[in-house]
Amino acid sequence: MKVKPVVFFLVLAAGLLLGGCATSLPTNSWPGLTAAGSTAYLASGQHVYAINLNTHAEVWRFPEEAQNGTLFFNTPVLTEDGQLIIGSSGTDHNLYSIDAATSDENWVFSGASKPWMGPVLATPEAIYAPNSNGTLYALDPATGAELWNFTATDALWGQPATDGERIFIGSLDHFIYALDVRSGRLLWKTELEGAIAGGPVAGPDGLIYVVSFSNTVKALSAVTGSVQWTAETEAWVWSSPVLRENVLYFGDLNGTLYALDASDGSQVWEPQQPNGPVVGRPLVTDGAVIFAGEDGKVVAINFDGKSIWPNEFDGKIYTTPVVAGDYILIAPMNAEFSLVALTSNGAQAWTVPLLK
Amino acid sequence: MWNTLIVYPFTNALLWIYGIIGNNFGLAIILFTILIRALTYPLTASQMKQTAAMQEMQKSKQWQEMQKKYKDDKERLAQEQMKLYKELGVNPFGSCLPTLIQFPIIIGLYQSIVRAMASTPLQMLDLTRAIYPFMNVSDIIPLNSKFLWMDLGAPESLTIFGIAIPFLAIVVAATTWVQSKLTMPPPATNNPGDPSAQMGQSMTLMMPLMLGWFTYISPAGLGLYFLAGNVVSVIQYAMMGKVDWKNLLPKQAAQPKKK
Repeated sequence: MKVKPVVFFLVLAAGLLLGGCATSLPTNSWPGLTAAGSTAYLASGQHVYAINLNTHAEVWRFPEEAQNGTLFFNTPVLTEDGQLIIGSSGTDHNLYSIDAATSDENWVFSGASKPWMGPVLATPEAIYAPNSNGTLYALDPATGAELWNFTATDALWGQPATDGERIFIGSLDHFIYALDVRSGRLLWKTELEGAIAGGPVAGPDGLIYVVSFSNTVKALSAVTGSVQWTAETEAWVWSSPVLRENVLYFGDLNGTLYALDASDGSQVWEPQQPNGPVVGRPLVTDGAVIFAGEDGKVVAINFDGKSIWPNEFDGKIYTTPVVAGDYILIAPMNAEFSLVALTSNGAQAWTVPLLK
Repeated sequence: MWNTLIVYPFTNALLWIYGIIGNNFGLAIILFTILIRALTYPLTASQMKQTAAMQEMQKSKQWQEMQKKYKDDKERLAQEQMKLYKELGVNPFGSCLPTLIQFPIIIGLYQSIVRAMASTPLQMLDLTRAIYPFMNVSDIIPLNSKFLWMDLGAPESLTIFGIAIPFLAIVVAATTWVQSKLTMPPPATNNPGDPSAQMGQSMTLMMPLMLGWFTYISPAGLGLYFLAGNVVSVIQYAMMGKVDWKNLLPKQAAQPKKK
């Protein structure tokens, strides 16, 4: 039976378009970055890389050989005893503890059913790991054994926070949950008007600060979960706020940057819009707050709201910038570099070429 | 351009329907299918008109004589047929074009479903870009992807006695075949060189396999669209009196009696 060329090519094109999309393991998030001492740890694609900040060379990669189903796209978290904790965003659903010095695997937790999209919270007592199956797992830091778990009704993408007594975790199900830090027992839950993708922040004054896809930022009582104040934003907020001297700094998905008084939500300085969508948490340095946006712009704003410097880079920046020694590190996506180091005045100092 | 013209409108239409029918994404896809079918009805009507014209032409004396005269010269026969198509204003592919136009819709819908389900951070960012400013969807994001036993954002399978069976893919392949057989008019001639008959036969075999495969590897929402599309198509044809139930029977039984 002959098949007309036009039909054949249309079938082939549709097959490639649909089939190709569905069978490959696609990039589903953005690089994760952390740094300590003279090493930066970059989670990007099928590996976590350790990069020496003096030589700018790769020290190790984990795993050494790429594995089917393993993808790393969230922020690796260092523990006090030198473990690097990161979950796979791929289809293997493993959470790994790696020796940060050697890349040796300490333990693997395989109890989750979906990818890990959010960074863990590490304390000396437990690793609190949010999974996109909606479950927060508390794990023994030494062995990775499960201590308790709590399940929300939708995915957990943000990093949990703690005030020492409670664990706070936001979910895409629109609820913020407070759990007993030792048992995981639900203490309270409060429904917001939108999904919560960014992690909450626990303040020293008994408030927690929560952003959501509802054009608002809210302060809740850490004890009861009641809303203490609400501040409006121009767009949905994904970026977890950073708290410094009672001021909350964050950006929204319109690229507008905010500084709010943490006591009442009033504006410390007028919202500014120098960026594309801001997803990552801002970085607070000695003299400035650094915001990075999807359009590749990085801006430094002083604590009075005045722009100190802007710079623009190739690629999209969703990853929270980090400080490493005298440098500010950014990890752009879809760019020619995996890592870019900036000086304190925003000039490009050095780069790490695309790691493959 | 593709996003602006196809993916964004589809995504917003899906979200809008999802919101007004009580947060059921499965029903939203079914209603969306009906909407798409209604919008593409002029194409369907044109397809039927072309098919009828083609059949009339193939029954004509001129056509029949041409078949006999050039039965041993396929190239010449094809040339003469094309001449006649031109003379009578009949498009030999007119009956297939509406089906082919479905391809960009299918691809756009696939992208819209994946985008609307937003099961990963990057997809969620894509979704935020696609939502029109006047749409207030804070309360419905993320969408509830559960419909019957299916997760519409993931490939479907039904586990029976410990065996995962791609039930939706099988149903989609079966209904696509049934829909093709019911709505495809029997060829007016038995000439194996007739391009429209040839294409019709190819499509009847290839489409069920292709759509079944797509359903197997794609989010279940796409399979639901195929299934709903097949059912709506049969209903649409039946309402216009164009369904030929005899086509489901084995070929010999369906042939007219000899005089």
